[in-house]
Amino acid sequence: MRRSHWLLGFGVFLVLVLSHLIWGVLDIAVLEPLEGVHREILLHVRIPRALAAVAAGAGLSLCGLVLQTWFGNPLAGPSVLGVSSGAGLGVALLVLVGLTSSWWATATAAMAGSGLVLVLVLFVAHRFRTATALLIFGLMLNYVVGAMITVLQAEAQQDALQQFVFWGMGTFGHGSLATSLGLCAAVIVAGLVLRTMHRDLDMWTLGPLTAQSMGVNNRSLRWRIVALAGLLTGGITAACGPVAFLGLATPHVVRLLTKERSHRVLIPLTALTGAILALAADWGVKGFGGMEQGWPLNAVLSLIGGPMVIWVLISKTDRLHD
Amino acid sequence: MTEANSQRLEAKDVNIRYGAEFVLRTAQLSIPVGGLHLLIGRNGAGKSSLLRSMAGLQPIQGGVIALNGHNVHSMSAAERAKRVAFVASTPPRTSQLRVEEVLGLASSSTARAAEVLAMFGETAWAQQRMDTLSDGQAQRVMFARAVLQETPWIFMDEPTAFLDVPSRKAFWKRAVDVAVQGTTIVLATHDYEHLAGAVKLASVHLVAALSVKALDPSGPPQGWTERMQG
Repeated sequence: MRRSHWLLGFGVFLVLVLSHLIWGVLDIAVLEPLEGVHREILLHVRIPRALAAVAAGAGLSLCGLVLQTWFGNPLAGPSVLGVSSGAGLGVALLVLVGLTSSWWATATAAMAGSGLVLVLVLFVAHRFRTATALLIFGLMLNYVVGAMITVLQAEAQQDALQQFVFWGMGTFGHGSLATSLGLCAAVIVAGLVLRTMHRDLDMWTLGPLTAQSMGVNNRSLRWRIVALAGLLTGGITAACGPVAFLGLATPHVVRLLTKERSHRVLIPLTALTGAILALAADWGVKGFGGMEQGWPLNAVLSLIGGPMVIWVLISKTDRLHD
Repeated sequence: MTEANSQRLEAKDVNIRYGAEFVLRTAQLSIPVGGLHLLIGRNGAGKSSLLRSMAGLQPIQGGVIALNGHNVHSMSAAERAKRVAFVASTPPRTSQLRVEEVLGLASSSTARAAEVLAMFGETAWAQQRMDTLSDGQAQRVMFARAVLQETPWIFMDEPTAFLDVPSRKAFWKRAVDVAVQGTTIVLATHDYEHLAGAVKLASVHLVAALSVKALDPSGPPQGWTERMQG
């Protein structure tokens, strides 16, 4: 990967971040001294939102990359394997039963739910001989967890139900500056920890036996992946709601854009691309439609992400026939 | 453990089972350091299970396997990787790493990796991705990777299964070369004809012929033992 490509990526990233800080209902000249309402908007609305988009985009994309590597399956990702649904169930239990709706309690419930589902998926993963069976297991898990959430919704009070439905649409715009900074810090730490695992992940692509024979502690690698993916998905889902497609689609976009396949390069590149896609999608949320709140994030991501994955699949199929 | 015993692989009273079904029961095996050793036996006799267990990659349900005096199942994965390299029976089919990246995982020396790549006649593949290689080519890369791991022992499970006839003969010659240079190679194979046609059988040792559920050193291929005496 050439330095010029990295610079181009960082350039696009910076332009998108600045565009989110400058443009909105009120345009803000960020280079001039800030005061009054402009300062308030920047500190309490735009910076937290941009940071949340960057953290969620990078974090979920890293989860997608590492899960696709672990399962050896291009369709693996936090939402496909039921990890996001697990986070949803955790939050549903908390919000719909009416226990509490504080940010920390929601975050803890989301992390516990996603971690629990991921442990379940990894526990049964080695029992399945084919990746297809595992994906069907993930789909079934999604159905079961979805049904449990539906039952909770049917029994819930009107206010709690409305709160949960809005949470389910996903947004980068609900976090405070502190929570967004916390999320960014968590994603940076997770990215750095993942970076230390890049050789293990590369060896894992050669198969579990070969990886083990080359010195990879498979059990430890599995639990590090569970912990990282569970905590990241849980934390991000708690802050932004269940964000669709980024985890699944970004690693494919990266593979399409570059020939690099070593995790030493893939990890930072996936994080950067995920952040760019999330910032771009958030412009869709702000720019689409005439609603005050914009279009729901998950609708925008699905409208962009769905065709993107189909395009990747078709272009890869073409290449196979060449 | 005595000095003589410590320079060998010793399997004592090894039980391997899947559920209630025993693949091997109280198996005994002793392989001295040096040379190329064949583990032969019919399909389902337990060759692969025993190889994986000897390499410390599969738990055993009884007995002990010691490599140069050290229990292979008590070592950490990192310690084991310094002593044993392993080539699985199926080459990786989905890895998108380039061949040079795969070799780089086994050795930090790019010069040594290039040297081994040249020794294996695979220099032209260095930039190719693993998932674009045929199974046979990928298996040759995995052998080169195992050699680069620079371990005293290499275990291989039916390494010629995906190779064409010329590649099989070339493989056996390389395997003997590697063994002559001091690495002890233990492998499971059915490829007797090409092995016999490629190298002097005097340089090859027959470890054991496995029959189902027990070690049974009574059944090498007809005429083979005589030819192995040179």
